[in-house]
Amino acid sequence: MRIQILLLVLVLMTSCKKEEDQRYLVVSKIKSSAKLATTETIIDKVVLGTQERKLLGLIRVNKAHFAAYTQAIITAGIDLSKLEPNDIEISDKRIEIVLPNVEVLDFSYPFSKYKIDSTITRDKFLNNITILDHEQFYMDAELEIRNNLKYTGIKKATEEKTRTMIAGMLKNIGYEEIYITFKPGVFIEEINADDSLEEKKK
Amino acid sequence: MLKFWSHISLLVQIAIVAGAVILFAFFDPFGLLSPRKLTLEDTPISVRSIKEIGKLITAEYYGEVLTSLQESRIDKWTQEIEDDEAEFENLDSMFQEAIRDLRDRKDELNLKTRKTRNLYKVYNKLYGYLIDNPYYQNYISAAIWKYYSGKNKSEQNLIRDLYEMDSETKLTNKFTLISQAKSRFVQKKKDFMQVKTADKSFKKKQIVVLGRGSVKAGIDFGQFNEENFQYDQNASTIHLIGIKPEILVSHINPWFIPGKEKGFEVVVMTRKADKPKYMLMVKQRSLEKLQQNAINAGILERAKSNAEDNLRSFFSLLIPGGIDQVIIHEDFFAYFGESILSEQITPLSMQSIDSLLIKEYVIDSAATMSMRNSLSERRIKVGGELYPIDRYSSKLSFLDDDALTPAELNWLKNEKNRIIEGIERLNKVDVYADSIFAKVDLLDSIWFFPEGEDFLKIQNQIKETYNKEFSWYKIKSEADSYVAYQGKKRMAQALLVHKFMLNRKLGSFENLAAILRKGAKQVVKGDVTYIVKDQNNENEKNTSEVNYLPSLEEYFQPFQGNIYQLSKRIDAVLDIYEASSMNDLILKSYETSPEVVTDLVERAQLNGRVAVFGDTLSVNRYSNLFEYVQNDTLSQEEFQQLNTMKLLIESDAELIQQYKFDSLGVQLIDTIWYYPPKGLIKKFKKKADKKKFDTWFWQSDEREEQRANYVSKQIQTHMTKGRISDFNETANALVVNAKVVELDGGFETNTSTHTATFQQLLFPPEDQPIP
Repeated sequence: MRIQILLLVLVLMTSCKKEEDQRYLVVSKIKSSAKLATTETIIDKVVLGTQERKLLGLIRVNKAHFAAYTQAIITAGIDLSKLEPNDIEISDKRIEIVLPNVEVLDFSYPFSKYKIDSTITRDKFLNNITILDHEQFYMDAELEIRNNLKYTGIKKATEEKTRTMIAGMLKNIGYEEIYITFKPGVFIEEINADDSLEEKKK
Repeated sequence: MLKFWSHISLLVQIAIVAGAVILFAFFDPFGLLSPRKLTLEDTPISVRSIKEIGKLITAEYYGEVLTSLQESRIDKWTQEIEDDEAEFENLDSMFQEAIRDLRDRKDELNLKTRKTRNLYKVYNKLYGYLIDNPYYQNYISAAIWKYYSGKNKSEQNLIRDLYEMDSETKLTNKFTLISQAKSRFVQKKKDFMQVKTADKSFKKKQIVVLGRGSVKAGIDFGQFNEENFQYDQNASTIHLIGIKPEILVSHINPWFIPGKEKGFEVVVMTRKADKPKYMLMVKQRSLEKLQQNAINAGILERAKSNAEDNLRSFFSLLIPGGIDQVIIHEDFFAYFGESILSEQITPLSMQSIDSLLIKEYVIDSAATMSMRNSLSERRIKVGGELYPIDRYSSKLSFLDDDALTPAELNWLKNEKNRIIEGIERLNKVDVYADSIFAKVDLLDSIWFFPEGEDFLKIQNQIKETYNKEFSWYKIKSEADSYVAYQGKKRMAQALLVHKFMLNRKLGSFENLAAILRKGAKQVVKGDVTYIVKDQNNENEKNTSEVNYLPSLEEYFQPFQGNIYQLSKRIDAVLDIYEASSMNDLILKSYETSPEVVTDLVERAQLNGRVAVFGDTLSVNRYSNLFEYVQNDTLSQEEFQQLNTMKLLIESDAELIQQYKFDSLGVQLIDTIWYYPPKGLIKKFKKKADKKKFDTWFWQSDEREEQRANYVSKQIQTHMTKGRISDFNETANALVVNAKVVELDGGFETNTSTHTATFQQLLFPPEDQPIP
């Protein structure tokens, strides 16, 4: 009888557990924007992953390896919609302009550029790296790339290219004395790696 | 025995335990072998390249798509079938073209049609590019099957039958029949797809993925240059031409919202489908669907309208006057249809249209020609008047500022020379070379390329001249001569086409010149500005009377025409500069620009000649006297003037000899014509030194003055000698050339027969009567 009661409690507890819905609503819609992209940076990243199989969580049985060469394409520039009349001062042939901060306008981590290295990638006995695991590696790699972008010098290069482009255009319009500066701002938002799906699983 | 069974039992137990372990390990229902720990090793990220771009993202689409592996595979096969169908249509059109071309060459090739093998060899030789197409064999098999209703026939039979078809209608019907073989052409692929989709292994492989990503659209300014940008200041409108909104980036990344939402959510995955290639296929299909959804949602239209709005706001901030409108035109044709045809065409916009015509001609010549035809129907507005649009319409901008400047006149002169030189060179067939093509530019081809009947005429002319026939064997055995013959024929046709174009170009140029003559309010020539005749100012001259083409300097270039042409040329110069004579002309010019005068005198002395009925003389100080013979008569009064002039010159000479410098009759015009060169003046000074003006006495102002007077006397003597010489030469010429000389007492002489000089006429020796 005790056993029956215990089983009943367990069944009730598990059946009543509401799974937390963590999905974000994806609304298919078009958003207006005015982003002037001035640089396109290609970044290489080798995704090197392992998967350990352990017996009872203690004894290591074996280790499977995964390796892939990947590329990310970062488009950076300025958001023109942030430019306001106050940011521009015109006096005859002289123009002073404070442009919005340079930021990442698009981050692309195209799957078509993933090249799995079959010489390194190895499954082990009872330890297969599935394509779902591949996806997990790519996700972690993307976060790593995003978080390291600020150290790559793209921001400075983009500022230079943007300055050159805008100055050239202003010269064509007829300005002779041109001063361009940028507003301060975040280049790319940092992602907390703890939010990654792997951590959530745990 | 018992021992044996106990061993067996042990082995069975071991096998059961091992099996259970393997089974547990495989399914691992209690997670004894878990957790499997996934670890991403630290690897660096490296920047491969930073490229400069210019893209304006104006619309962003975020969406979600559900895709399965089976759907992806079926779509892939369907796409292949569609590609094959397109390839069939392409081959079908090429095949029809080849057969028609072959039939057109019947006369030239002179093939004996019964010899199928010969025909097939020619077909292979001429249309090798068609046969090399990897789909050709499939196409021709399908065509034969359809044409002969499944009978066993060869490709050679098909080609011969089509080649010999006796009427165009029949041929067209047969081609229609062959076109229906498309279904057979793709049948194999369709069958393959049907078998595959019914297969069990196909059904067992399945992945279902929910893909979330973004599509961004806007404008790529990568190839943008001045030609793509038109700023209509009057309408405060900016036209951006040749750019169109496009999908700039689209992706489904591993993360849709980094750290929060996955890009790919795997909903279903069977074990058989657990392979990267299948996953890649599904991802690819997901991305395609996402892009299609974005397009269906109108991302490109939004991108365009947003770009126009955003750029208008942006330029309004930068341009003080502001901008009313920014219009994006996908290409020149769109710009042409949407704006040019609805707006007023000006010479300035014609400049842009010309450059865009040239640019677009390379892309789509037929569309460019159609545009040219539309332009021909329009009118261009210049100074309130409308003119038909043609090759030189942009040059009507010369009238924009109401004045034809020397630079513009110079351009006109050079352009005309260029065209005439081109025509002359083309007329000399023996100097025919590739370089002559330099005289015709792409814009000429657009405007003047012979079309319709004109082109037919040229072709017929070529056919008549080159009616040689080559049989297949001749082509083969005399390949070089055949190639040379074809080359010659092509070049002859090109020559005629070029001649045609240049002649039409000349006509168009003359038309422009006439408009400019009539329309110019001012013509600036040298230092003189001609202004259109105004009722209030009678001195002003109508510019239609101005022969603007040659510059003054051109008149002093060496001249090789006959006497009549020379006379006309000089008259024209005098007319342009409103000078009564050459001297007058030079005197006028001297007042404004002495350097030019010096140059003119030099040129005149070297090259200039004055035309006087049947003879020419060097231009000199007294060339204006030839006006006296304008009516063929040297009147008594003119004779008296000549006499007075002679006495004056002689008096001047005497005065110089007597050192009466104050009353010397040397004028500015004399200085222009006879002032001694530097070397001679140096000589005079040396001569003065020899007279010891500087050694007889110590240096003094008085002595210096004496020395200067001496040098001056030498100079003036030199000039007067020149005057006397020129005067005598001119006066003699006058007398010799005048048909009638009226002397005292009404005595008339037909001078065409006499040889008396001026001296003799004026002071005839008593013993020698006037002839």
